[in-house]
Amino acid sequence: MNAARKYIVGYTICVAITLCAFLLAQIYGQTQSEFPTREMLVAALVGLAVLQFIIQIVYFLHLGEEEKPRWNLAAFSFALIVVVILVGGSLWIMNHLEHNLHTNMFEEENIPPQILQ
Amino acid sequence: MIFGRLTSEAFIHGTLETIPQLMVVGAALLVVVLLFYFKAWKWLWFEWLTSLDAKKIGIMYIVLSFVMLARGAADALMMRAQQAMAVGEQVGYLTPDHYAQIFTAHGIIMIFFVAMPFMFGLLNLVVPLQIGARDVAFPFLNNVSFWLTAVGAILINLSLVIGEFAATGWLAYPPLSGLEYSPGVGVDYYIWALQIAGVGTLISGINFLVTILKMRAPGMTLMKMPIFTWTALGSMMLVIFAFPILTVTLGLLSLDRLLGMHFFTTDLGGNAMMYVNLIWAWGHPEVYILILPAFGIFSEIVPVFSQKKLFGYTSMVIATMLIVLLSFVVWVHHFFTMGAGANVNAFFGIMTMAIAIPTGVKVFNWLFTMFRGRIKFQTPMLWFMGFLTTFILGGMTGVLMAIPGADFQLHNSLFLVAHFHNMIVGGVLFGFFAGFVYWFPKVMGFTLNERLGRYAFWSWIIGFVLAFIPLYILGLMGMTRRLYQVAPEWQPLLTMAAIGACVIALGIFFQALQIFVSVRQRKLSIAGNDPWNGRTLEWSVASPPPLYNFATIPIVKDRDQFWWDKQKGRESKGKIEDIEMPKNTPAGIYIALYSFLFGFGLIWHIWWLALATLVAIVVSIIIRSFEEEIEYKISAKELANIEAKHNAI
Amino acid sequence: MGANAHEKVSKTRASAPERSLSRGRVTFGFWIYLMSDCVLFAALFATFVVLRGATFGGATPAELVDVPFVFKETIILLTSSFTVGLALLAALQGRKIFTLAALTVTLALGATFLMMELSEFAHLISEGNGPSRSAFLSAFFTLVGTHGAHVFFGAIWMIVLMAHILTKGTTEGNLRKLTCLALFWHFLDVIWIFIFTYVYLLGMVI
Repeated sequence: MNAARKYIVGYTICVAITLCAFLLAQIYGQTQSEFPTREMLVAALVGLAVLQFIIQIVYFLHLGEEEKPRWNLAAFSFALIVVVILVGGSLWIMNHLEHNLHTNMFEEENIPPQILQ
Repeated sequence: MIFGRLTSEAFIHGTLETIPQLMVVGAALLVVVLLFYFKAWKWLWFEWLTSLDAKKIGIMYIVLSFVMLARGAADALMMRAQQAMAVGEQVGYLTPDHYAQIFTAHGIIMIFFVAMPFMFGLLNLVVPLQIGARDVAFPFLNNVSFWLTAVGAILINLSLVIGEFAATGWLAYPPLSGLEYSPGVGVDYYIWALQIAGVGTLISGINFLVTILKMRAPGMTLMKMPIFTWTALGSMMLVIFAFPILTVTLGLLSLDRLLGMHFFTTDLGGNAMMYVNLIWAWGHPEVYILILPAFGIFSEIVPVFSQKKLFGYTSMVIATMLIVLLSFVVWVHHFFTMGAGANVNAFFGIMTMAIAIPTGVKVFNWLFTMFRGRIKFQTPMLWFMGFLTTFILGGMTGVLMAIPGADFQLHNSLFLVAHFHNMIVGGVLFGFFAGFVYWFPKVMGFTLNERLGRYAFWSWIIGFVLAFIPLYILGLMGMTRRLYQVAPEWQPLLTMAAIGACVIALGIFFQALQIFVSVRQRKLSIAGNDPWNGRTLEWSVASPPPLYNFATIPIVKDRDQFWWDKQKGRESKGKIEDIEMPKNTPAGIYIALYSFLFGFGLIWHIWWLALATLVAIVVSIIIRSFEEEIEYKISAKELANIEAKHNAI
Repeated sequence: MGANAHEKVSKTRASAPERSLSRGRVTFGFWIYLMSDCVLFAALFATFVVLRGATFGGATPAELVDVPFVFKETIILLTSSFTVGLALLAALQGRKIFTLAALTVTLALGATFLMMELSEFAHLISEGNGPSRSAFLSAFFTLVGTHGAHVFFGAIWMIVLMAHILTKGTTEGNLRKLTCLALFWHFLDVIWIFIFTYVYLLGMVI
């Protein structure tokens, strides 16, 4: 595939994906979660995001097309691992923490009234 | 207010704080006067400050590191004196706030402005030479990195003169470091010194990663790379992926302080524990950023001084890369007690124990390298032996504390303080000292005085044991860290620790003396190209190396290329060609100057200054991008002349 | 530096854009920078995820979202990512005018995106939902704002690079710079996918 066509294909797919995500969210907002259900919507939106991520990485950032040794790909993979560890780890740690501390400090009924005013 | 919150009161300190204030001002004035007296400004500017030569930048890094070591050590002595004196009812000689500033500054300075510049200094001096390159990948950025690190150091020392420093402990946990409890400029000095130095570190990390991956001499495959370069690669990977986390963490803290946001505050939903989580997600890799190059240095020194090849090269490489990966999944062991619960703690505890495995592999590799070797006990090897004993002790206590249950007892006690000093002093610093002695003749052309080196080593190791073994015991006795006053039953051991600190200070004195004497007697100790009978490429070039490092780029066939060249009597001399070297430029120093003023403006809320200097930084970068003639040519003829002149000597 | 073997090889190769992205020290170094920037955004994301429930009586994620508005923003940024790609392709073929035109379009789209984001921020602040209202809003403004700041500095870079190309044409140095800029711009769009999905679309739902 030549380079210009690659950009055009990538762009078209990304616009389509974005549009899908947008319409799904709109439909959900209007039908008040009868169909699609909340879980389905979340899964679909996450799936679309990941799909678009891959499309852009391949079609715009041209990852995986370099000659060996593939340092760009290696760096990218390591970055991805660190990102997953950092975000996933933080969530895991902080959720357990909140659970153990029984803080509920983020809920409105626990807010001291003087702050709310 | 045109000067934000900077008023004349910022210059007025208590009696005791005036002494360091005057010392900093006095030292700065003395340097200026000496430069005028020796008419050295031009020399300094053109030969050093604006230089893009990695070797000169490396030397400047190490000078910075030594100056800051003196400051950090002075802080340590003051702390030890305070704890030895403030027993029971007594209050010692420091005010509580001053004492808190000192232990904060000590930690920050030792990690960021002693260990980090020392590491980058050695990397600059050695990595290009070891991989057969003429320079680093981005010489200009290298210069910028150095100056940004220097700006951080200057900001920290400036806090002695104008205003105050953070009194929060070296990681500045909120809410203590938040606006409510630290309304002064101390924490802002802390934040901006680290942010600016951190940007420099990140740029350096990228620079060396690209240098190592893209600029190796032809034939040097990854598995033929010297181990120091391997560990440098690992360390730089950690820099690149860990330092952005620090940038974000400190950035969010400063948003809390400057713009009244609520990331880590105690009200409006802020979560101070997220700060702890984030800063350690950087903080743990940081430990390995420092220790990996130290491992690499020992992996160079042990084979050379055992006169054998390194045992288990491949396992050394695998161990290094495992450490890189594992160092990202252990950060909770710094806050087991926070309350994330048994599952989380168990996972991170096990990971922490697992990281001891690759480290253990390395230790055994060094031991097996020495086994049946003909060991020469010169100072680099002494530092290694010292390292081995203290580091294994430190490692053991580390594994002990990786057990969450045990950690609940030991957390925040002096046991922990003793443990990490064991790793950072006995591990990192001894490693860098060994590297310093080992590569000094390469860089300067003459060897360091051996006898004074031994005195320095023995003072350090004896002082170290005296200063830190008591802290383990005190930790088990229940003494927590950062205490302003201590219980009477702790006094004997604290006195011992104070004596130990003095012995370490003696070691530093011997090191200074060693450098002084060696420089004076340099004519008597000319090193030659290869003073230690070395194995790697840096020993194949002249000492000090010419500014282009290699007249012809070597072609690598073996691991320990230079060693085999010597054994087989082969000499690879290619054809000498024209080469291009980067020209000096003051752009880096200007960018750093504006960054300094930018930081100063933000610290003191002088908004116009911060804005103006931010624009100035951007404009400087744009102007630099328009510069065309950034390199100059050394013709093949000149090159041949320089080489011939050296060979004649 | 000139005698480096890698550099020499790369100079003689045909300069298809696919190749131009992987070769050379500068583009590789820049790629590494982008990877470290990934981690920077990851840290901000982690903070946002942890603090997103901490609304403390201020606006909740669902209340912030104007989906059609954000959809427009997203399409604008995506299109600018496409046009910067076209600019790079044109530059590699030495078509200076087309390059500058494509960059101008990219810049205009980038500026529009920034204006929309600023108007969204101004709107929120005027309703009393500024960044100091709650931890959630602090995290929201910082995450989205950091992305916006990247776009802003990218735009300045683009202006400077256009001046370079205008004066010197599509030289090798300018191609290298443009390659990096294009990578940067694409990267910002990649980050935006996650902001769009997690902060906005999912903000409405969960």
